[in-house]
Amino acid sequence: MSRIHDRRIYHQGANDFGRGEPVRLRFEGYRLRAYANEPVAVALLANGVRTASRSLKFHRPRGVLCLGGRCFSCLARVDGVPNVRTCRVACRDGMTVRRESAVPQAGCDVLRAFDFAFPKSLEYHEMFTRPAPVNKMLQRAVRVFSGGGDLPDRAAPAPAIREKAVEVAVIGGGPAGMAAALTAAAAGARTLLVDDAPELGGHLVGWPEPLDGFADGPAWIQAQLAALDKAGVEVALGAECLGRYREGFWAFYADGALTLLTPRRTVLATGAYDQPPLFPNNDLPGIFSTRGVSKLVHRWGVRPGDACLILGVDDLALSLAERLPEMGVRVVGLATEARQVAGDPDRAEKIRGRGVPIFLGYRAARARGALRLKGLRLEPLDGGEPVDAPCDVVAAGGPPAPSWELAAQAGGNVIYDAARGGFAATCDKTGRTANSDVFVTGEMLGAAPALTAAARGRAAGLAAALDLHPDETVAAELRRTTEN
Amino acid sequence: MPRKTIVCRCEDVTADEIRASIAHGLRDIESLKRFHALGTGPCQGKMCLVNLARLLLEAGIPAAEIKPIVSRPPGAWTPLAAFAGRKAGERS
Repeated sequence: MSRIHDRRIYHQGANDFGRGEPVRLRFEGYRLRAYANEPVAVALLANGVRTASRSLKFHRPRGVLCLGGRCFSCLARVDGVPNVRTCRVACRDGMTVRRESAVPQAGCDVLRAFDFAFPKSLEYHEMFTRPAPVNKMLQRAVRVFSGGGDLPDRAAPAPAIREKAVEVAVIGGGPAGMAAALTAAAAGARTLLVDDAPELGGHLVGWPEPLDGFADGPAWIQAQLAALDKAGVEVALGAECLGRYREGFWAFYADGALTLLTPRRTVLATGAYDQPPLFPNNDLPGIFSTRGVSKLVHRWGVRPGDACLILGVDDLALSLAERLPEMGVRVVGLATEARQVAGDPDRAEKIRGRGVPIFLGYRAARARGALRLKGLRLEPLDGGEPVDAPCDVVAAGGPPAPSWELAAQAGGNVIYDAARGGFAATCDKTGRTANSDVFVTGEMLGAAPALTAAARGRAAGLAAALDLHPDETVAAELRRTTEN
Repeated sequence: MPRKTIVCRCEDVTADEIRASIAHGLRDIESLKRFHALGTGPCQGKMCLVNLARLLLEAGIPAAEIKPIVSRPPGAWTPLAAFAGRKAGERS
């Protein structure tokens, strides 16, 4: 870590961006300024720390990609517990954060030598398999040289396992999940909404644009929270669904304890995973998903770097291109393989007018840098001169991959569906899967704007409640919802 | 400078390794998982499976033949202690 400086935006006062009380983090011999509501990953980025850990085999630097609990690239040791997703844990005064899997430390790891020694690949299946004593010795050495963290300082306690039954469980609290829970409760079902994040809203917590008459994502979420409260929906946050067990319950892990939940109907709204782009050095810290950058900027008010290249030219990309310069981050350009701008063309024209180039028909060829991102090389698809864009941040758009795991575990039929952007469970118009008690909705049906995802959620919520509480008005509403 | 395209961020599997394995006849995700361990790391395939499917499509394998890995709980890592707790009324 060469320099520590605060990358936060302060404009209103002490509690900008709902950061909470100032606290101090103990980080590898430094004391870092942090705030009580900030996730540890955000506090590290705000202090200029990009490398969260080193990778398993090659000891390449790893840093945050998605900032949404899905990429597992922000793992670090927190208060003696290894491999904690730092984007999911809020800072606490005196908290100790250490990066793992590195000698002597992740900022400068001598084991990176493996990356240089094996520049193409590490075919460990065929290395030193004979003679047996050498193989035995190397097997032992491998555990020392590979990453994965050390054992925890203390054994975890084993608290009692709780059991809970509910009529409709909605797993995932983004726009679709909130809408599903609202409609299910309004149709008379006793409804529980569970999310693994510390706050509801999914990706909308970082949505900077006006939405359905509200100023931005967070404002829209506030309105939904009030409606959920009024409808009597029970909300559980910070509870991660571990899966569906054969006995028919869903297991949740929260605060060190398990809860086994048996709902009569389940609506899965676990969204879609931001995907890393594919090009050489695609794993360098500083390469984020566009939604990850947007969350860092809009939710937490932290500058991701000094110069940003944006891959993709949709509305979120254009919005970032407008907002980043206001925060003092230079936008080096926007690039897409498409020949046209996917977002509002007038807006794109205005951004061009400010001297920000938009590269249409260009692909990202490779990232430059060894420890930190230094630039991205763009190549025109139809030949011609490549462009080297110097930058220390890349916001990579591209379609997210639907989540499918819980649906598959519950007996859903999961297929590769290119139109949905990956693996997805087959379902009817309401989202009902091969297991008729389980629905999939929202971005599990493919990437969608928030309001489309919410409309899908409404259909699933109505259908789930209707199974349990037959009602002609609700049935008519469901027909209307699924007709469009 | 090493220039790796990382497909699996958890297990450090490169696109070159995957392409070589596909050429060697590992033409489905399950076999690739068993050989390279991708999909078995902390993210359980969230970051790699779709890029892997793209590499299989690129190698001419039809979409209908591409199946994901088998997903089993727990989908996120959990201290074993959490499973050692007792249910209400359960005796040791």
